[in-house]
Amino acid sequence: MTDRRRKTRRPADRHLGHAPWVLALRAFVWAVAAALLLGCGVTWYTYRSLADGLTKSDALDAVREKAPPHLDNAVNLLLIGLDSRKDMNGNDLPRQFVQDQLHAGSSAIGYYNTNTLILMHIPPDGGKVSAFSIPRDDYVPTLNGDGSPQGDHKIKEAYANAYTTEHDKLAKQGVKGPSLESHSREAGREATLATVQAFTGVPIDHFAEVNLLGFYDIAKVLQPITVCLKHPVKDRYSGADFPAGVQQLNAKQALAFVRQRHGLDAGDLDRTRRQQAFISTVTHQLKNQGVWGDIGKLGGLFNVVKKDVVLDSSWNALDFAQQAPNLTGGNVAFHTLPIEGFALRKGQDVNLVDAAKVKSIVQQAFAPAPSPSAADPKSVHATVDVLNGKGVPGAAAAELKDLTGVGFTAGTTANAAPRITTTVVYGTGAGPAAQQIATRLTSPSPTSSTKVPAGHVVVTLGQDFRLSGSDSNSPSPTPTRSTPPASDDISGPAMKAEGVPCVN
Amino acid sequence: MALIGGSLLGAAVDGMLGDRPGWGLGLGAAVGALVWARRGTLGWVAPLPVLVVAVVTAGFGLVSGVNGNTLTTQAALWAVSAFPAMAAAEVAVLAAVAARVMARTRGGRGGRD
Repeated sequence: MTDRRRKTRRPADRHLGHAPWVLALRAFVWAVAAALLLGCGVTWYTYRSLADGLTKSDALDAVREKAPPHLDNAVNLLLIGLDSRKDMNGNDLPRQFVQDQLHAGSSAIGYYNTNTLILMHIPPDGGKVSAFSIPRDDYVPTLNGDGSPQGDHKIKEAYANAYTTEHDKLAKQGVKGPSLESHSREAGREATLATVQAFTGVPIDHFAEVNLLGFYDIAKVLQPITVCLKHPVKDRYSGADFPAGVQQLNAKQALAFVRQRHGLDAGDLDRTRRQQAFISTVTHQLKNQGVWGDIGKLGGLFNVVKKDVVLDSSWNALDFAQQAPNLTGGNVAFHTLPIEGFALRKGQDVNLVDAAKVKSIVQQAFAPAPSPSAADPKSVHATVDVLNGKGVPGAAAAELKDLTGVGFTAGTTANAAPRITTTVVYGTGAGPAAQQIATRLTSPSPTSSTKVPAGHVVVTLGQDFRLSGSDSNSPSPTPTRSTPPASDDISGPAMKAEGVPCVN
Repeated sequence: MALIGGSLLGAAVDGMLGDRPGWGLGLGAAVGALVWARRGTLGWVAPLPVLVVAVVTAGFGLVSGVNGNTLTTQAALWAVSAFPAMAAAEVAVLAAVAARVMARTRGGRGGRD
């Protein structure tokens, strides 16, 4: 066939096949194809090297449905530091290693508490990054991944509570070994994500979980790590023994640096600031060493974190590599969420918090700067009617009082059929007010309706509604000891992540 | 036409399954390339699968929405999703061309005998 076709090819075709422009075109096509194949191949290989082997979690899928609406198109990232002395399969880490290198107690201590929770807001356009450390002892209503309540606990216990429940349930079903551990941890992650989302009123897009061993391994890659202390410290619990001033730490010392709380003026809050300082130092160091811009070095770091860091399954290594430089050069402002005081609950020292205030602070920091008229409720006129679909007597009146307190005009209150979700519906001209109220209540986006009179907003409270500063579902436990409410700046001023900040 | 048709068909199957271009496109491009390689000349047959797959995946990305926050990330993600199909189509073409050359060589030798 081919020979016959060759024989019957017209002379003009043969001439055309050898024409200089055809040869040039063919050479061009070959060059472009080769460049494309090579470029795509190298990119594919590099990407697979980075991404393959990472421990991924689908925990975000469980809580995404009930996530509060996005305030902008930035990425909210939750860093979870787990106080576990176990490996990914639930096996105890070698005792000697835990005692000598981690300077931590037995595997029973720490359990699955999330001792570090840092919520970061990374704008898409390279703008300022806001980060909030959530004090681990904040006493809040903790949730399971499906949104069901666990009760009031320290926020760090949400993970452990869900882990234990799931672990016991699966163990009874005969599940064992790594599968039992991974499913139980997944329940813990879901609970932490659901609790933090409900507490802060903002959705979480990605998360990263690191345990003590993971922290140690990362620090080992990055050591020596430069830190700065305002005062000399010596603490036998964490093993911290450092002079004042700028100094370089190895991995073991770095772990002691971020874990120390005894002997510090503000205890746990100073420990939180140590963690912020550590992140600031490390990102500064990574930038100076050129790691962010060097995919090979980034790959080296990924190889280490693959062992004991868990990332959400939608985490995109390339996107993170692009966003990571935003975390350097003073571009991050670290805050610590405020507490209202201290108290004893269930025999434990806890931080008291004002849930509405926390939501308001986080949402203000994470939302794009509003126009002056939209920011002030008094300038957004609307009459608010509140319907009680929660079933708790007085909830509608209390919320109406709250809303009039911030400048809205009081309408009526009434009962409504019981419902799960709080909704906000508005009439003509009340859209901006409805948006403000929805944001305040962390309810889904408001909808307009011709059934609502012009200038009115109708709020129908559901089971998910919580009265400001309290859980109306459960009576507040009587404090056996409490300190007076503290000032707003009890958690200290914001720390700008620039170089090596000096901390207590 | 076989190459373009196979690639588009494969990408469409991927799309119907809810995925980004992947195995469907790779298979479609490879089969299309095999059919096409039976007739075309090596000078054109060898480089074109890469270009066709590149155009199909880029077009699919533009139509269905692009992943990634920045142009660099988008380009890298496109390269990652397109490469397996490119490689599959290219291997198929080279295998077909090699088979053709071998058959011709064997035929020529037989003729002399």
